Amino acid sequence: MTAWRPLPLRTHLLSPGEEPAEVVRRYAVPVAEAGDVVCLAESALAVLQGRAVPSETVRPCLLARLLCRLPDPAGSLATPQAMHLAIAEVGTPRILAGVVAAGLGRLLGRRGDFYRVAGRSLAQIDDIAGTLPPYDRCVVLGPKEPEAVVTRIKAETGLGACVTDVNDLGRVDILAATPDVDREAVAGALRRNPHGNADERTPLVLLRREEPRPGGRGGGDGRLLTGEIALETPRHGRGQPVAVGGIRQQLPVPGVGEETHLHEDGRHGALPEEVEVRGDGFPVILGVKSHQLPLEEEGEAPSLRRCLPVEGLSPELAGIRESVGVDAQENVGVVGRLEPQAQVLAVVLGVGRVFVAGQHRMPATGADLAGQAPGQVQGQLLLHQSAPRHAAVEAAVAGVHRHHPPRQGTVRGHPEDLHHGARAGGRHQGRRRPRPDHRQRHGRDEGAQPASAASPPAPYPSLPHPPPHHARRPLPAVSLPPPRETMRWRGRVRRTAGFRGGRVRRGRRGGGN
Amino acid sequence: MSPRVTNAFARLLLEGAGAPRTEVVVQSTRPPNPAAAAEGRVVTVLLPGFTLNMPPDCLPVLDGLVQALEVTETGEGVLVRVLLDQEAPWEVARKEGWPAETILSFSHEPLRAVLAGHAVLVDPAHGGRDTGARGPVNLVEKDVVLDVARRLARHLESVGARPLLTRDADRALAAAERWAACSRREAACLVHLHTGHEPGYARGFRTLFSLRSAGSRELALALHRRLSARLPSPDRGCHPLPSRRRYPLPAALVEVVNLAHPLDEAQMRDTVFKERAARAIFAGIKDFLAASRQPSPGSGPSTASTRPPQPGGEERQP
Repeated sequence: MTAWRPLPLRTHLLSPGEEPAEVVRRYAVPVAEAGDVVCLAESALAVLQGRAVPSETVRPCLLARLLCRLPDPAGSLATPQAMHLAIAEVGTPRILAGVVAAGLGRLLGRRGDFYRVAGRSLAQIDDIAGTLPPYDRCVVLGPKEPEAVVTRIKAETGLGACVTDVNDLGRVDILAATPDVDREAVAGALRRNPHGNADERTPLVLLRREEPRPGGRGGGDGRLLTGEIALETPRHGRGQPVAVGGIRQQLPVPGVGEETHLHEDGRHGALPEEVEVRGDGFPVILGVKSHQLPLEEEGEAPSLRRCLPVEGLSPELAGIRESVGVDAQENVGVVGRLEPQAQVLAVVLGVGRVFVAGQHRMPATGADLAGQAPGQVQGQLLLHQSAPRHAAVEAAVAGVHRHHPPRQGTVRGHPEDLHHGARAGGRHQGRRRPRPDHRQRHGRDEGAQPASAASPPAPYPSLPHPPPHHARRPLPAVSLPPPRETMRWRGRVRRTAGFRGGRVRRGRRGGGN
Repeated sequence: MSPRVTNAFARLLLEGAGAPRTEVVVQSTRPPNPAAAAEGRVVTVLLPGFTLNMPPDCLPVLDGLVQALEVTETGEGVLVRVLLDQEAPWEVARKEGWPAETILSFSHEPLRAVLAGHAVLVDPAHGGRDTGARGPVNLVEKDVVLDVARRLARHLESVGARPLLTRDADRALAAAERWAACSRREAACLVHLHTGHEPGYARGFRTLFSLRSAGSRELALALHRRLSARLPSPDRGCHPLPSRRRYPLPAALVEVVNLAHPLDEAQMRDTVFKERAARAIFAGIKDFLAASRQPSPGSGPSTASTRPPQPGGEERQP
C-alpha cells in the first residue's frame, strides 16, 4: 500500500455560498503536483453548502428533547437542537427505529447500530460547539451530494479529490472520492487528523504520494553511527531494553525483496524519539530512542541509554532477545515473510543498509543479504520478527561485529543460536571473509576477536507452527516523548528531504556495501 | 514553483523533553533558511523567498507567555512575528519533510519564575449530592468545574506551582470544611470555580470578587481580562460580590459559563473550550502574581489601578 504524506492547508474562514472547487483552486492548486489528492473536510463542505444551522433558529420538538439524552454527552446529537435536525433529516420513524436498534445493540454489546439503521448521514452532524467559531453556535449537518463535489473538483483542478470526516480518535470516513483515489491509503494518511479538531482552519489537506528516493550508495562517507539496541518484550520481561542510536533519516519501509540505506546525514546526536510501526502493508520499527544521544566517536563502545517497552510481541517468538553487534559499515538483512499485520520489528542501528527479504524460510535463492565490512563495532542490532501466519521467528542477521562475516539465515531459539551462523541463502557482495567463530558471544564489542576459519554453520531446526490467526497480537505500540528536535516517526517511516544516498532496489538480489 | 507557507499554528507542550514550552510552527512546502531576531517581546522570523499560501493572519495564542502569532508576506519573503507577554528564552529549529516546518520554541521559564513555589487554592464548587447548576440536557456544575479545576492544576504544576484543590473527586464538602480549606494562608490566591445557573440570563462567563478581601479585585480583574481575551463566549462582566466573608488571601469567583443556557452547556462538552478556560485562568493567576511581585510595567499586560495584595487578613477598604 502506498504511503501518503499530508499537507494541511490553512484557508480563510469559509462562508456559505463559496464554491468548493474555487477554494481548492485557490489553496491546493498552487502547491499541488500531478498525482496529489486533495481532501476536503465534510464540515467545511457543509458550511459552504449553507448547512450550518444556527441553534437559536431551531425549536426542538418534545421527541428531540427526550432522545437527546440517550447518546454519549460528549458526542453529537447530544443537544435537542441537533436531535431535532436529525429527525428532520431522516424522519421520525427512522430515528425511532435507530433508537430501538441501538438499545438492542447495547444489549448485545455492539455500538453504532443507531447510525446503521437511522442513516450514516446522521454521524456527520456536528453538534453545537463542534466546529470552529462562529459556526460553534450552529449545528452543522452533513454535506449534500459530496460525489458531485469531488467530481467537479477533479474536473476543474485535475486533482484527485475526496470528502472526509475525521476525528481525533482515528476514525476516518471517506464520504466521496474520485475514482483515482485509493480510499484505504487516504484513510491511513488521515488517521492522525491533519485537519485538526479545534480552530486550526485547515479544511483542506493535500496528500502526496511517498516515493523512494533515488540516490547513491549509503554509508560511504566513513561516519560511523553508534548506539545500542535492546528489545523489551512481554515474554522476556524488562531485561532486554531497546534503544537505537544514530538513525537520523526517515526511511521508507523496505518492501519484500527490497533494500534501503541508512545514511547518517551529518547531524550527530539527534535521534528519533518516536517510532511508528508501519510499513507498506506491514509494520516495521526503525530506530527507537528515548532522547537525543550524543553519538560516540569512532572507536568508543556504545552505551545503553534507555529502555523502551515494545508491546504486543508474540510470545511465540523464538527467543531472539540479545543484541547482535553490527558495524556501521555493515549491512543487515531481515529475512522472513512479512505479511500484513505481521509483527515485525527490525531495529536497526548504524548500518549502511537494511535489507528486507520476503522469504518464509531461507531458500537457496532467497535473502540476498548484504555483505559487510569488518570493522569496529559501533552498535548493536536486534532483529525480531513474529509472523502470525508463519513460523514464529525467522530473522537472519547479517553483519556481526568485528571480523565476523555475515550471519544469514533463519535463527530461532536461544540467543546463542545466533552464533551458529546462517545458512548461506543468498549472494554476498562478493567479499570473501573468514568464517565466524560461531561460539563467540554477541553483544558489545569488548574486545575484538580475530576471526578464524570455522566449519560451515549447522542447519537450523525447523520452526514451530505459527500461532493461529485469532491469536495474533496487536501491533506493538511504542510511545515516546516527542523529540526535542523535529523528527516524529509516528506510525510510518518517512524519508526526509535531506536524505542522501538512499537507494531502494526491488527484487531479491541484495548486495553488500 | 516558489516555496510557500501553508499553515501556522501554536501548540502548548506541558510534557516531554524541554517542556513546558510553547511552540510556534510554520509549515511550508520546502525547508526554509529562517532568519530570526528578537527585539524586546517580539520575535521575528523571516523566511526569505517564500510566499504565503494561506491568508495573512494574526492568530491569538494567549497561553500566558505567547500573546499572538502574526504571519504576513513582505517583499523579501514571509514574515512571522511572535508577540510575547514577556521576554523568554527561545530557539528556532527547522524540520525537513513535507510539510517542512520552522519551529520556534519558547521556554516557560518566565512563567516558572513567577509561579514556582506558590500555592494556589482552587475550589471546584459543590460536589457529591450537591450537584450545583444543571444544564438543559444533562451536564451538572459539579462535574464540569472539577474538570476545569484539574486542567488548571495541571497547568500550574507544569511551572512548579502548587495547586491545592479543595476537592479532587466528586465528594461533598461541608461549609465549614470548605471554608477552612479556602482559608489556608500559605496560598497566594484562591479561585472559586462555578458556573452560572440563571435560566433566561445571558450566556457567557463572569468574574466576581469580594470587596472585603484584600487583593481580590485585582485578582478578579486579571482573571477576567484573560478569560475575555481567550474565550469565544460572551462576557458578562467582572462584578463585586456582596459578601460578609473576609478571606485572608486574594480570592475571586469565576463562572466559566452559564450552564443553564443550552449553548453554554454545549460549550462545556468541548474539551478545547475547557482547556482554554483553564489556561486563561492560569494566565490570569500568573498576571496577578507577577503584578504583585513586580509592580513595574513591562512584565506583562498592565493591570490598571493594581494595588499589591496583602494576604494575611488585613482589611482594606475598596
